[in-house]
Amino acid sequence: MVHPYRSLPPRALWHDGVAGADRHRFADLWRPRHALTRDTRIATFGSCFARHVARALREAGCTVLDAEPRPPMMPPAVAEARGYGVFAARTGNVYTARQMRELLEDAATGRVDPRLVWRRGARFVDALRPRIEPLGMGSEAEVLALRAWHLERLARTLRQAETLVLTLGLTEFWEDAEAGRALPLCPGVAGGTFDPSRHLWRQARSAEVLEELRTIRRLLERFRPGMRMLLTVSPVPLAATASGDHVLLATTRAKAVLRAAVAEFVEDTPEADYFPALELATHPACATGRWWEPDWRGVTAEGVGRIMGVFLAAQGLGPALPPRPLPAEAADPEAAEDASCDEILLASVARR
Amino acid sequence: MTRIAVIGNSHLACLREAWAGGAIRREGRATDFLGLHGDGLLDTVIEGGTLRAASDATAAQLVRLNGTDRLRLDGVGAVVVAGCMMAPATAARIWRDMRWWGLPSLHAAGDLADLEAAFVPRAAAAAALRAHLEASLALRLARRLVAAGVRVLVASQPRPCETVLDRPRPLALSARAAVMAGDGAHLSAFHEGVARAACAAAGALYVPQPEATRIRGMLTARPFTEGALRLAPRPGQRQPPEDAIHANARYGALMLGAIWAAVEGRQAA
Repeated sequence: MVHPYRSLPPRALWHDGVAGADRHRFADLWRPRHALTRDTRIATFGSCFARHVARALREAGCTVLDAEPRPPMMPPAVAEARGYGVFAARTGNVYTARQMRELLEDAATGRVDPRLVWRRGARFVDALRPRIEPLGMGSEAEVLALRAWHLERLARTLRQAETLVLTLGLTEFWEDAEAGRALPLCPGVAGGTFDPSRHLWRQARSAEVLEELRTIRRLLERFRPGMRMLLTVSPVPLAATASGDHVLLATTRAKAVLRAAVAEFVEDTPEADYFPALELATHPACATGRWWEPDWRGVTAEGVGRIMGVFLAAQGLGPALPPRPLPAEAADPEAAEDASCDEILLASVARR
Repeated sequence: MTRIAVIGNSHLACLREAWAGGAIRREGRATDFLGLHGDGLLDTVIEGGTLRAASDATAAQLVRLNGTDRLRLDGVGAVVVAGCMMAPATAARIWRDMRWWGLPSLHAAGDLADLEAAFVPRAAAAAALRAHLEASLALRLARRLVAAGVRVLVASQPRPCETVLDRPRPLALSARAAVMAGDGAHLSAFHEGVARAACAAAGALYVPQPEATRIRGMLTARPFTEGALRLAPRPGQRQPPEDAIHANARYGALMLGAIWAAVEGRQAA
């Protein structure tokens, strides 16, 4: 009997590709469509897990763009609390495809919207990155001026980028219906006042995510024709859901929808690729060590190191394993995540 | 009799000279001085109500510059930490790298796209300055002294001399640039607010540079720097002519006056 499965390579068969594979290295799990070199100009964005991607690329000596580098006189601890050196710009976490699309539109147009300035006590915050300045700003005008400058720097950097790395994390989000914008955080959590008639909970479906990704692709072409996209899905579970579902089910739903949309997008888009961080972190055949923190939400330094080790090895950018030791500040990834993850904030607020 | 002790780095010299000159001596006032260059005062310990050198080398340096290697703290009305990088020049270096809302030069510029420095929230610039001041020798010493139960005042280091406008000096390039950009007054107020808060958080009272000695916000008027003395074993050793960061006895007298006013509660520093 002759049939197509007879000639499949080992990686296509569970017996060889998984059960019989060196699952520590997983050398053949990901075959990059596009080679990254240390000279490739990379711009990273995304949710909490994306910061690990950016850090690993930097440590591997890659050219990771930074639109808003830390001013030399700003001490590292002060800068870290303000989102310096994390993503391609001080965007804060970008959780959803829609948030990313709207960010790119803003960067393309320079548009700032006074409706997206929140009050936090006597201070003011940027609703689209509400935790970027822990102490808030002194006036609405200051928020808007800083946002305009941020967008200008972001646009400048996007025009240089050859590869955009985007880690998607969520499908559910809050929308400011008046401004027509997806928000990274529910109003009232880190500023602003929740208004149920204005702030609407949304749950993106896979078709919507797919369409957002297509629009993102078109927008990137405007900044730099031929820019490639490398997509990942964050394995970090939701800290809280407003869907009415159990948070574990909401997590599975979100990751499944993102994974499906990304798969279809990559299948249709030669310039795009997908790195399986989600699979590496969540499938029991892959996550064979101490990959998860006791709360089952934070990925340990070991887990991050293994995931990024697979990434770098596949790209020929670093040793497959063991991964480079992470810098001291990343020794406690839970602490690092806690400091930066808006979702953690959401959960802590929910418990009050 | 109220006794205060003044410790510091090279910026102690103007205060010591002013006291020696007698301008602000009054009956019932006594002032001790203990100075050491650089961050040498970190190599001291406080034991049994006395601040003393922690090593033989530091003890020798203290004796060479002060005639003693220790300072008695028991019964002292206050310890004043003078200079020791509680310096407005730090704010100028922040300004060199960052701009924030409210700076006159920023609003005059119009298009921020051409801004070379980073545009940051004013709160971020303040946090950066505060972190530097908290790490300064002045506040490191102040925290030790406060922990020892001593009342502590921190006296500001003087601003660079106005002569830097005509003759740029490496240590004062940023202050000069800020003044020339029209940001001197704003930057001065910015520094004062952050310095006051940082000192208060350390349990110390901040004594700013006397207003009468300042010019264009971030500079010291020439009459208060000419003839500045060095912290040296022999009295009367002058700073080199190119020096633009040390103040003279005239300045020292005003600063000591402000210090005594604060100690005696006649005027909030």
